[in-house]
Amino acid sequence: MNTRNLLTTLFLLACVAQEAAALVRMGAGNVEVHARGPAGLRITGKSTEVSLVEDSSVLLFKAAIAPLDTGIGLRNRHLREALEADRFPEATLSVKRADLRFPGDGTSVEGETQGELTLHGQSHPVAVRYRAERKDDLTHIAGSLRLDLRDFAVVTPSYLGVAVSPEVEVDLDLAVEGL
Amino acid sequence: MRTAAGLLVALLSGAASAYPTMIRHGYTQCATCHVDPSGGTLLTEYGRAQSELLLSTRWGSASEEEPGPSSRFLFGAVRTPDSTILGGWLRNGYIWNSVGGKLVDQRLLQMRADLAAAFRAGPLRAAAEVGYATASSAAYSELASITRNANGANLVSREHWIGLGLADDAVLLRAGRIQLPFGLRNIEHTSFVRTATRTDINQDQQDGVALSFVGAGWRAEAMAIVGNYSLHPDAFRERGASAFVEIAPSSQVAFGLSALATRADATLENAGPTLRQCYGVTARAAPWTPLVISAEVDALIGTALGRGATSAGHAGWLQADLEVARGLHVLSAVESQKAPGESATSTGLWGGLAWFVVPHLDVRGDVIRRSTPGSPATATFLLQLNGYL
Repeated sequence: MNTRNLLTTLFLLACVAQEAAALVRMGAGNVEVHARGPAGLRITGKSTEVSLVEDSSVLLFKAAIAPLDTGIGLRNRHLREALEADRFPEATLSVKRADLRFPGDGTSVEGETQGELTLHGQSHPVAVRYRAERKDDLTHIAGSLRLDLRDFAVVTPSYLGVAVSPEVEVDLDLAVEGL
Repeated sequence: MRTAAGLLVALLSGAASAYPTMIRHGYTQCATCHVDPSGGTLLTEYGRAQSELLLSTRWGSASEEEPGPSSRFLFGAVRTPDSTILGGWLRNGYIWNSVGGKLVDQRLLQMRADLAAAFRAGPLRAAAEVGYATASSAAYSELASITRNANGANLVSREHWIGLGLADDAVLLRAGRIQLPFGLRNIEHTSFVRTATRTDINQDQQDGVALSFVGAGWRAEAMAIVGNYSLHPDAFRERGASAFVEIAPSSQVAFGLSALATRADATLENAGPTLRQCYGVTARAAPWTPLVISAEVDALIGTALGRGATSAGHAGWLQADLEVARGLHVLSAVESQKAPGESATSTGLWGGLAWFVVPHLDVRGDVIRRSTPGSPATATFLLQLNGYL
């Protein structure tokens, strides 16, 4: 093997290693977005399209915007329009591994940390409460955070005189192997 | 026979629009769709849109399509200012009554013909209804009469109030003639739970002052009752208080508590002063979006004041509402009642179909069988056509 071939082989191996480091974990999960409106109105959008991309330093949670279902078709459309789902099809939450505690087998941990939420093309730090439990190589992660839609340049949805509050809560639930 | 006759006239009148089953769509509270924060009566513009989107058959319209202008007042022919809400009801029906298997009565019913308006300016809120009730519907409208035509038609006003909306309409303080805050505000206004507690939404409103609160996951209303001023003489007017609180731990489940205590100087059954108390628990749940289960159990206590004679009874209601296709509902219910002072418990079975054909129009058919030990069973077949302007 000449030097040129050796360098090519090393480069390819490095690429493969890099790809392996960014491990995509698709597990059973769901995300719920809770909004409130006047006179006690509660709106919950739900989706099961949640995934976790993991590398050596960061956990990146991804949730697709378009599948969020609020139970009413027209309201789903208004939600997609408000979040411009065509332009920004997913929201991501990035959390540094170093800021998290990981459970051993048969144990659970919980805590609060800082993550970076990207929504509607805007990124801002958010406080994230989380709980993780590991059993038989399956890690169950539950996280929640609050955000203000105005911070993400989202025009607060309003329909026929009923406007939702810009403060929104997000709950995320995901079970993945390993971690 | 008197019981049977009472049951017959009990079905002679229509009801306001009140759909606790909207919990199937996550609406545990009422105030976003109704002017009355505890439900029923006039729809807000948002409520009219939900009526088209969620209640009515969509006839091929995509679920993401905006409601058309036809869902508005008078099919959009008249555009009202944002400060004003207009509406109206025209409900007619045909009823067949049988006692002991024999058809004893059949007739066309004029059940409801009301116009209503609500107005808001700043924190000021006001709403009023006025309607026309024929003599044949007097049994279930006369307690809301505002004219005194003994054997003929009368004008009725089921509600009229003025108030202040506060805290982004989470709080409403109002005075006037108001629906009593008690139990399920179900459209089956002749059900035992509504008649036994005298909270029939067709005519049992009372004059008084009410304070309502609506929060995320809960709602409550309390009312000081100063009497029904459509009722004469004054000795028959009930005075006291009524209140309910409902908590929704999720958007598909709600539990409520109700209480009512009133005193009147006289009643039809008792010439002396009487204390009437009702305490109830309610539940609504949509375990599966097409299915809503509603239940109410009320304890009834009557006391002849001064004589110390207290008697107790109960009323119960359990209903399943299955939406088999958008706008088409199969309804069934069981109910029971033992009035204070009576020994027999009456039971009832309800079955029916309701079809919200298009916005502004629904049809409904009910079969109701009621029985009381010692009396012949009654059966009622009722067809209704309800238009909402």
